Amino acid sequence: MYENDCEKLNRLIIAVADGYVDCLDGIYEIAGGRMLAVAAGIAGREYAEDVLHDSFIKIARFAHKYRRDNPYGWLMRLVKNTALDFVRSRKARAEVSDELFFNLTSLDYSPEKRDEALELERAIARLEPDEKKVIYCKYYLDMSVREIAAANKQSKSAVQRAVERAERKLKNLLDGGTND
Amino acid sequence: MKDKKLEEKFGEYFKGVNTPDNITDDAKKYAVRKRAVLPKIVKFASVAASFVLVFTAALIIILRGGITPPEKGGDSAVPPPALVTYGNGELEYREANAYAASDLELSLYFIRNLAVASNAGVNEMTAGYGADGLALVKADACLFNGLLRHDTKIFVEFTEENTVHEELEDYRHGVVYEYRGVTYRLTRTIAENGEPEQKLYFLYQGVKYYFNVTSADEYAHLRYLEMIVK
Repeated sequence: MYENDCEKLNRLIIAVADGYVDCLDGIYEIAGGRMLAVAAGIAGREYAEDVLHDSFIKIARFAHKYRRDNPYGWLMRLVKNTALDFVRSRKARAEVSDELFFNLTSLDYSPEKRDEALELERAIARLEPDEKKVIYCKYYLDMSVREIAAANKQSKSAVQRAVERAERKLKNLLDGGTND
Repeated sequence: MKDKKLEEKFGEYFKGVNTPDNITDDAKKYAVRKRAVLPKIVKFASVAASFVLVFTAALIIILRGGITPPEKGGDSAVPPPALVTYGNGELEYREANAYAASDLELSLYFIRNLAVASNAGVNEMTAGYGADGLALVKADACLFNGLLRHDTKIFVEFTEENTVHEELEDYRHGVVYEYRGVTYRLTRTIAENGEPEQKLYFLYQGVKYYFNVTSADEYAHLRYLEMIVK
């Protein structure tokens, strides 16, 4: 399912670059939830909508610069930077809170999916801060191990180990393990 | 590489959020068709060159007595030669400038023409270098032929005739046709958007050309043969 979404996003961004404006709706349909999560985590719930709005204007303007390799990575980087700019423009200091990234059920959330979402949120809550960080980088921002390592000034092997540890622990928690 | 189970979990998690409405409305005013920014003199020159090209092409068409060269027969029984493949790992890719494509290799002049033409554009171009120098050039182009649009992926390969990039191997298994004395292979499929997709391969003057054309024009591939085979 992910591969399909990824390919669709790829085509949609390229189509926006070619002037097909309605493809922005397709991008929003596929990636809107994740974009909102990133926006809310950085700018806060009350400004997440404004950040999304500004992000889509940037997508429309800069889609031609998209390099066709990682659509999610490109979109999430754009949302993250827009959110940071938004916070700075309000002369506030960007204080990114992990808790907001992993608390989507506190937003307007689908009742049918709430139970499963809460289960994931509870599992994430039991991770260490550095484990949450790599999960955020990888599953929200779509960053590669190399990119995470460069951003955090760590070696690739250290990041790789941290990612594997966090993934193993999260899966174990989701399977009902305690990880104590 | 992401963990598949977690990837699915997060995918569902993100989809559960009810996103606000009308977020994309304003953005739609900003989306514009990508156009190459060229100095006025180049624009004027390209317009003048277009006129010359149109007249020359018209003259050639009149003299040859047809608009679309007939595609006769096609021989699917011709087996492809034994091929040696290589992959991206053996190449170092660098960005290339489509407007200066012929600086890399003269046979890439047609890419430069596509980049400059008023009815076409080249979105992206990269050059892959192997141990022996330039091996593969990739470019994504879009052009309008009358009312028909072509989305075209271009690959030009400079390796030995039977050495082929692994992503291009299937181009070499197409049905064999001939155009002005040049043998070409063509594979016809349907693209995901429902339009005909043509995979064209031919060798001309020692250079291997591959085109993946998605277009409602089922003879779109002939435009690329016309462009290169003189």
